[in-house]
Amino acid sequence: MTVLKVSDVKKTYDKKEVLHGVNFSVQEKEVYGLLGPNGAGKSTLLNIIVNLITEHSGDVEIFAKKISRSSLSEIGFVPQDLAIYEDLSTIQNVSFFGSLYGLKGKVLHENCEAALRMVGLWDQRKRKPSAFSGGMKRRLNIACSIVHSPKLIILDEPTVGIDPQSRNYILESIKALNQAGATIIYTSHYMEEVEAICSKVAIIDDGKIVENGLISVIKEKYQKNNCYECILETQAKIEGVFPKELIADISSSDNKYLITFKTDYINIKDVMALVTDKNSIVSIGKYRPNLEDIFLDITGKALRDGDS
Amino acid sequence: MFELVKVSFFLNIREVRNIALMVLLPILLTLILGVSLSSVFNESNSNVLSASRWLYQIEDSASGEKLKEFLETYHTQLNMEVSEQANYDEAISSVSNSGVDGYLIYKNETITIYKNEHSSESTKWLEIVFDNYLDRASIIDGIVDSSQDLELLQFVQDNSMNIGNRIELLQIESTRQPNAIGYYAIAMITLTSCYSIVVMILGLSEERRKNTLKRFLLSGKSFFSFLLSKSISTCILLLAELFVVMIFDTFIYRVDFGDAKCWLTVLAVSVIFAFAVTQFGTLLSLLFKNLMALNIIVNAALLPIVLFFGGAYLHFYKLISMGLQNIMIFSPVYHVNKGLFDAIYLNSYEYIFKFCVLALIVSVLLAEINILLSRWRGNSWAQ
Repeated sequence: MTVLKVSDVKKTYDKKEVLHGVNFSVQEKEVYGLLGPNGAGKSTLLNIIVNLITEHSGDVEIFAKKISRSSLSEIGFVPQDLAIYEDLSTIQNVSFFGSLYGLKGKVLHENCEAALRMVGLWDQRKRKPSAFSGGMKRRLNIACSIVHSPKLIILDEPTVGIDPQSRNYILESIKALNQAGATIIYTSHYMEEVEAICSKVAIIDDGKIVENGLISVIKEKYQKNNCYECILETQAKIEGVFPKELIADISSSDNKYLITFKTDYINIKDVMALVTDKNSIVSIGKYRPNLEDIFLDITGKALRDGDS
Repeated sequence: MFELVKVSFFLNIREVRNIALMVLLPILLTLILGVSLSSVFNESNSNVLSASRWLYQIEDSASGEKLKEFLETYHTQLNMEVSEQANYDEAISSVSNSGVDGYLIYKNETITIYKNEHSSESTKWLEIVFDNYLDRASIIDGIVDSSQDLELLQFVQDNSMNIGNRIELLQIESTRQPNAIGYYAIAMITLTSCYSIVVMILGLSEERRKNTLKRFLLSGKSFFSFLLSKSISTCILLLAELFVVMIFDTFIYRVDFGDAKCWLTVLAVSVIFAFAVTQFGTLLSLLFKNLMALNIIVNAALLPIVLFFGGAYLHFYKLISMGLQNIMIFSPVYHVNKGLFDAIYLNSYEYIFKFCVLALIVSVLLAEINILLSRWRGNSWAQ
């Protein structure tokens, strides 16, 4: 079942088109990654999906119905910036945001408990978020968004600037939510997170989706026949293993080398035939690019701030 | 919506700024201004509004019509506000409550003036004018005694009815008297209502800054219901705070706010006025991008100007020219103060009723504009 369908969505700000006809769909119980550098149009797209931006062209459908205020109860949106009341206690925060969806009484209390247990804050329910670490505040931010048990949860970079422990907690929570039946749309700068939890991704750049599909398929697609990863014996040097004139580029980390040949070699046997000192090779294989490499390859940009 | 009203109220009372602005400020300013400017309200001057206020009842006769015409034509020059009151008991009650300076009855070619022991210097001057109006004989005494407007006395002399009857003065005992503290207590209640605009702007600013407004919209609630909830919570906060202030004023400063009806009137008028003010604050918030800058402008310029020209801080008419006094009527604060005084000291609810109706109409109009603006600016305002 299609949970979310985005069809030819375009958005213009001050005569500048920031989304150029975006199309993608998310199926039930998928964990879908939305990747893109800053300014790519991710936040605009998410705001359109959750109806915060209503002036745009194209269609957004949630559970086969055009997005409207009434369908928002199906969505739990975790904004990138914290959206909590620091003066209210943890349980008061979750309870208030739950009540906005019409929950009350026992149901509200049960949902609050479930949401807080999901993010590991039930024991802290009486404390105020002003005393929390950044990671705990982000977990509360998630709890406030899932208290009404939405079927579609959209997380906009929920792990920015937090400690590894909280990040792991959040990732585990997302997996648990997915296992409980929720469909997840996840945006992040951290490729390893996306690879760890998402089955499908869409890469968005300059307002359009430049790649979309299963991560394994995308990786396969961007695998190159002239790029091999080789681990050598500690004392060995790569110049002594492969003829220099066949190599276009080499990058290394310790005794691990990424070799780009001038020509393609489909089979590993063809590469091994080039080796002059087989004894120095510990292992060799086709290089499987990670999402970060693919992203760089497609957009020419690094995903994280400060990278280039 | 009720949940947001509850949470907003809860958050508002946790704001030290709000409590300081809306509870401590009126209490302290009432004391400071009341004591420091109490000399303006000496015993011979109970008139706390800009002009001497008179009620009259004039018989239907040729000379009566002439006197009525005289009053209605020249009351500005006489620095008095006049209104007809045929009900003797109500008029006497107003005089005894010090809500008006005097009650003038013209019957059988005799002017009878009822006044209380606090009637001001201006009342004495008016007695001379009326006296001369009836009989030019005492004109010289009038000029010598009062050192007032010679031109006006000349006019009176030239137009004298010369019917030979003298003025009859009856003094009645006043039961209630607005003193300096009383005046400023009422003025500060109006001021507190005005500060609802600050609470509203800061509330909207905080909800936007903390992104909690975004969550409200994400739940499917409309932007307008958000604005309405904030307005209601601000008014409830005001009601609670005014109640505290009035209790304090009544039992510590011994301010006489009148009976329960007067109390309820003060609270109801304040809330209605505050609702109009919060709608205005909402309108400004929707028009301004930077709400913190807007808050500074409102605090540093708009509120002081409106309050100053409304006479909320100072006993105004003594200090400024007639030209500036005319500006006062454009400040809603002036009308709230006057209406509350009417209700408390005059037992007259007509003025404040009219003001409340007008304030409600303005509120509805502003709310309509806010609906249109919120639809136009819509969710983008939240981001």
